[in-house]
Amino acid sequence: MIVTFGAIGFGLVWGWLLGFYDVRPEKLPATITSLAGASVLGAGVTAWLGGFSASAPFSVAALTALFVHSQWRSELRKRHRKSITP
Amino acid sequence: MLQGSSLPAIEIAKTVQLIGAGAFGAVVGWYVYYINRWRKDDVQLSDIVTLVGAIGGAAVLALFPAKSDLFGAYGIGLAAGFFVYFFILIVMVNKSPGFTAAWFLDGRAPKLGPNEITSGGRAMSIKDQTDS
Repeated sequence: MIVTFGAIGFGLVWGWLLGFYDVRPEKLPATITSLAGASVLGAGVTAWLGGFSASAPFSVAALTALFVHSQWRSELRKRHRKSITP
Repeated sequence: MLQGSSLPAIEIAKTVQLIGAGAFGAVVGWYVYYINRWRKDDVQLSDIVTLVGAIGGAAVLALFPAKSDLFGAYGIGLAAGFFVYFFILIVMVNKSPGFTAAWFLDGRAPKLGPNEITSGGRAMSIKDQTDS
């Protein structure tokens, strides 16, 4: 049980960190490949440390944190647009 | 059994180990957010890969055996330290006059007063390129 919660903790931190990674349309394929590779790496490390069964809670937690963080940053960008100065 | 304790010594040791692993994770989690907050440039993939090493690398595996409760306690502590740092940042940004949540995007801050200087410190990222 503790291992599962630990994997969730890893996932939340991992997903939140990925949310800092800005996705730009011109670099979309490279970005998606990089993020997917990094996530597989994170899941692999968790499986190595916590056992194969820990990968599922890690992945769910990571995706949740990534979604929440991305939505939050997107909302912030809408609310706080930069003023354009010449 | 330890004197004055109803728990076997091995169980007490295990509890202390779990608390220690959790506390160690909390320090690492706190520091992971700290490093991220003070990074010199926009976040790169290499930063994230480096963090994988810091979070779950060989040093951690040497301290905590794989598939053990100690690893679990470390993960719980890691998330606690990381998100407590974030929560404290939210509280401080909300309480600081002139600061808004935009600080989390690009470090936006109020203008300096007449007798104020900047120390060169920076917040979340050099520039927010999404609005350009």
